[in-house]
Amino acid sequence: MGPHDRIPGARPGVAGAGRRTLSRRQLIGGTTAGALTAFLAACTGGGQMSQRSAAPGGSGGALQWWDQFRPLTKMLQNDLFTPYMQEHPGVKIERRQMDAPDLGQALQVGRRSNQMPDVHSMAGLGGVSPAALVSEGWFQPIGKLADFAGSPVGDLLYDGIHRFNGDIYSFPPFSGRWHDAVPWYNSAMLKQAGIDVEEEPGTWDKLREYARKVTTSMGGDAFGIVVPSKEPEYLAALVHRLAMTAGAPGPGAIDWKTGDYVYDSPEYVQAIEFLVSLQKDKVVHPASASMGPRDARARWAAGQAGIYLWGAWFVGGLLVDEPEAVERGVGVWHIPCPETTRNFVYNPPQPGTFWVSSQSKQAKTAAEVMLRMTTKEFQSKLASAMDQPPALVEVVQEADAHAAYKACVANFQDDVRIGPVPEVGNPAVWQVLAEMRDLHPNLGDIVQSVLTGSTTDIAGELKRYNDKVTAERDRAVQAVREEKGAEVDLKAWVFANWDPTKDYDQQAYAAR
Amino acid sequence: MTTTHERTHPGRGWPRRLRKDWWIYLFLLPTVLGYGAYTVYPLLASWWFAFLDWPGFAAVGTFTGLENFERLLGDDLFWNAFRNSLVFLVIAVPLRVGLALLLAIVLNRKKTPFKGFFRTLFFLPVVTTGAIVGVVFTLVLDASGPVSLSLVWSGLIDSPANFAADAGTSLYAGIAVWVWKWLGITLIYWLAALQTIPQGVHEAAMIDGAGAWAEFRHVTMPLLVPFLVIITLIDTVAAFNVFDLMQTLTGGGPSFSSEVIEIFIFRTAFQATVPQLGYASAAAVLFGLLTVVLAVVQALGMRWARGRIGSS
Amino acid sequence: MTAPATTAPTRAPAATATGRARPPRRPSVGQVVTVVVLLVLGGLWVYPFVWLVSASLKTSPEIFGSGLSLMPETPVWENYARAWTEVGFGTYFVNTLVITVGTVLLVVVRSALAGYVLGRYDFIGKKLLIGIFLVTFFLPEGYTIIPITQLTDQLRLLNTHAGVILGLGAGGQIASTLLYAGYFRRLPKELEETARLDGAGHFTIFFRVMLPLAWPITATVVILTYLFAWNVYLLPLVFTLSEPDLRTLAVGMTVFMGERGTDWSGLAAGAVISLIPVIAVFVVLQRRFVDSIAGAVKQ
Repeated sequence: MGPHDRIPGARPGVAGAGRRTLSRRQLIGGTTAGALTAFLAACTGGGQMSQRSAAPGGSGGALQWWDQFRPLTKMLQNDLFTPYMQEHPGVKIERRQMDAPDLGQALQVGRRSNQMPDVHSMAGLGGVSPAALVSEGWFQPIGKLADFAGSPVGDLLYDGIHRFNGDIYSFPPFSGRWHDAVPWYNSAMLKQAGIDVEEEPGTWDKLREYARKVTTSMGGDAFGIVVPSKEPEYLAALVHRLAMTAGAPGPGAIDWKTGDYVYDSPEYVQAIEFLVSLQKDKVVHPASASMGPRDARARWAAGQAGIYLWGAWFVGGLLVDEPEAVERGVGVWHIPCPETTRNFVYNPPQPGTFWVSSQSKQAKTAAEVMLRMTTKEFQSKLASAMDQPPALVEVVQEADAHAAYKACVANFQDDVRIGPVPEVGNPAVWQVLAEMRDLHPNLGDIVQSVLTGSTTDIAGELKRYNDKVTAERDRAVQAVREEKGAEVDLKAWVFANWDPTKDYDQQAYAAR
Repeated sequence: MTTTHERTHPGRGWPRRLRKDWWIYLFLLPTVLGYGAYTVYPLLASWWFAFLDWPGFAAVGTFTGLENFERLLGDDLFWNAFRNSLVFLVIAVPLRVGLALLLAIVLNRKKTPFKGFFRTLFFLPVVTTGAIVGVVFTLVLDASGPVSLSLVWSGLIDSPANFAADAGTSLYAGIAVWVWKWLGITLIYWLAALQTIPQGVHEAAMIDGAGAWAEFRHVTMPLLVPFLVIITLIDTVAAFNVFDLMQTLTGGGPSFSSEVIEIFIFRTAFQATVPQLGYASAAAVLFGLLTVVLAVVQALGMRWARGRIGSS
Repeated sequence: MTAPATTAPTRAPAATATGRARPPRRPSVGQVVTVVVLLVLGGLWVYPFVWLVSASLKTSPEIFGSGLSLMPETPVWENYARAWTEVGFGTYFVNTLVITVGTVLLVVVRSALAGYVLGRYDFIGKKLLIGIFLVTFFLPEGYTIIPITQLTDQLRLLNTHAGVILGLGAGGQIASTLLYAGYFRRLPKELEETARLDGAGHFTIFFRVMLPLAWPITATVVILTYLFAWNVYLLPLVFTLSEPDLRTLAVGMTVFMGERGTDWSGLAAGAVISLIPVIAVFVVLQRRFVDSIAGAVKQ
């Protein structure tokens, strides 16, 4: 999977903050600032900031824990830290929750001035690969400090993602089986439009028909669907998912038989044309072009649109910001496919969220606390927060969660398969990804151009992008081979034994 | 030009003068230190960055000479942003300067009622934070916002329009909002300029029986030309600082249609998967150079125009 | 920038204000048309503010749903309470005040000192200094933010009010220096000579005689700097990122957008809160504002 169209939320370390990565364009005070400060921090040499941010974690005292999960604040405190501290009287855990961008900066500055927290997430570091940070000595292995290999998530650990040079560095608290194009609907509005919501749309045409029905019955007060088009990242993720339902391989628009990019394949063209057809039907909320994903959720909650395609965190977010919309009625379907034959949506294995700093002197305690996150009890609490689905998905059905959330997670089990990831097959791939420059217009930009009417040549634009990204990968491979002596070539992107209907698991990598 | 009150002794040599003038340097110290550290040094540093290949998370960059500039010259999106900035400039500055002049003339007339009220009104956006303006107009200008609704209602357009989120109109929406925001301050510049024209000149023109337009054309305008130069210059410099407004209003989109140079730089340096710091800095430097060239051309053009008016 | 001969150097800008409005005799057709045009334009200018105030009193769904209607069904005053307490616009307000006042003081003192010697004395290096000012004058703001942050970090001033104040006021502001220089240049030299005969030193002369005389320029500089510091966004954003308690109103506003992107009504209420002081200051000191800016142009 190339760096240019990383599926939002699938970035290493930003897993739980999928919606944050989605809304970066708009959030001048959010991600833009984060990227900015990450840069600034990269050129500054530590300072007051980190001293004031927190007591140095490496010097003993309280165990410092930094992350960005605001919705999980209460739960982490009540269900993880407090019980652990009660059982271990000498231990004190101090958690600091920061916005992803702030966290990124604080981490960079802390790193340069030896003031890293003991445990932290990788949010705000701009989607840098964990392999890059491991190779720069940011983290220490935790596999020998606590039994992660034998824990319930032991099967979910991958080389090149959680394990480097044989040592376990992190683990996935969330499930990798998720996607961010889940059709959420306003059940009251759909019923009013005479739609039997129990009958799933299943196909793109049927979804289109539902959207038409809603638009007609609401007579201009509301529209069938909302497709927020202000942020190219959302559109890219949506089109990736739709193209997969049409049969495209994934994740990352790569044909695993040949290792070639497939942005110009008929599936991608079809997916974009489907969005255009919705627009032509005038069933898309007319203000979509100026909305980000969260704006779209607010409009959906305000009763202005019947259907909205977004991630599993939709209900959890509504409960925080617009609880009345949940009471009114929210439901969920499987992601529809173009035909009645079902294709799968592919996701990479879920990356680790929490990492232990190489500067930490309390790594053992940190690892033990982290291990507790893999227990059934904790995972079940995670499910009731209704964010990303927890790693042990089986706890969801018994958890205290909304029915729509449970249905959504159940649908993921039907619809999502874990695809191959080149970094797992060949660790040197991360160097190539780091070398590749951003190309524009990329998939998201192209979709935005099409939806806002500045181009109609879908196939041509996709072809040009496909050629450019192919050439850029060739250049990057050559550059890291020559300059860094990395042993990597284009074969790293070939997974000839990939079976589209199955998870690409550890055995598959071994048999490759 | 400068009136020198302290007697200077050119033949006595520097050390003596320096010793005698120590207090002058003490007076200058805060400015020299502050300006050196917070203006000159950052300027030089940003120029140095332009010659580096500096991917986001590396601690330092590697010197690559002019490579960044070469790549920039072949980067369509750089030229797209450059073009957008120029379009912005060419439309927005005359609009702001011209509209403000018209308003100033009206508000300068003795007969016009409620002058203070209108002045306050037009000045309100000036004191409003750019980010707030951007957010408010995102909602006011979208398809379900009041502008689109009233245009549809009055039959001027058939279907709702997203002015700030349509590739054809986003840049112009940005220009309109920018003019809206900053008109007030240009208005006040012009009011000040108009007040320097002695009342006697108007009266003389009135006695001659000159019409309002003739009076303006032959009496007022020549006197205003120096101010036109200054005000245009001030507004042109301001037109290069539209970052907060454009970022909140359109974010440069959709599909780069309103991406002005500042957003291009910001995107390259801070929003890329692998930020390219050297490249972004080079874009800033190249753009800064082009700005200076433009300013010089403009200044020369103005001088030329002034010479013509003076000689006619 | 040479002032026309008609502007007497020692005349305070106040004296050149807009002519006092006299009671109109009888409205002519042209006058009515003028007023109508002005009212329409004025409506365009004031509408977004009316919209903002109306949005701040609605619920979020109502903002989207009510179309052209500006009247909230029932005013939701809680929006203001939420913006003030939960989001901390109260703290932001104080921060903005501290930073603005600090920046204004710094700029006034620094530019007055430099302007005084630049305007009245000849010294070695003067041409060089003015040359540097002119060369750097056209540098657009924003591209130098990286080295400035680096410097502030090395001074250990990141995440302090002092860091922001230095960042805003220590560099740039060349216009203020030149304004003072232009003004001081035109004061008669007898002023100093008299003071010197009384035994006053350079500093006494400056602070007791010259600076008080330059009050019109000081007023101009204070107001222009106030406008600048109250609205500036990027630098305080970057300097206070990991210390939310130090955010200014402009920064707080955008952070609010980032954290609670869908709370439009709270956002509108916050915007109104941050606007009220500026608008109040403007309305009260309107004449002063206009004259100051006008004074700056004339210089």
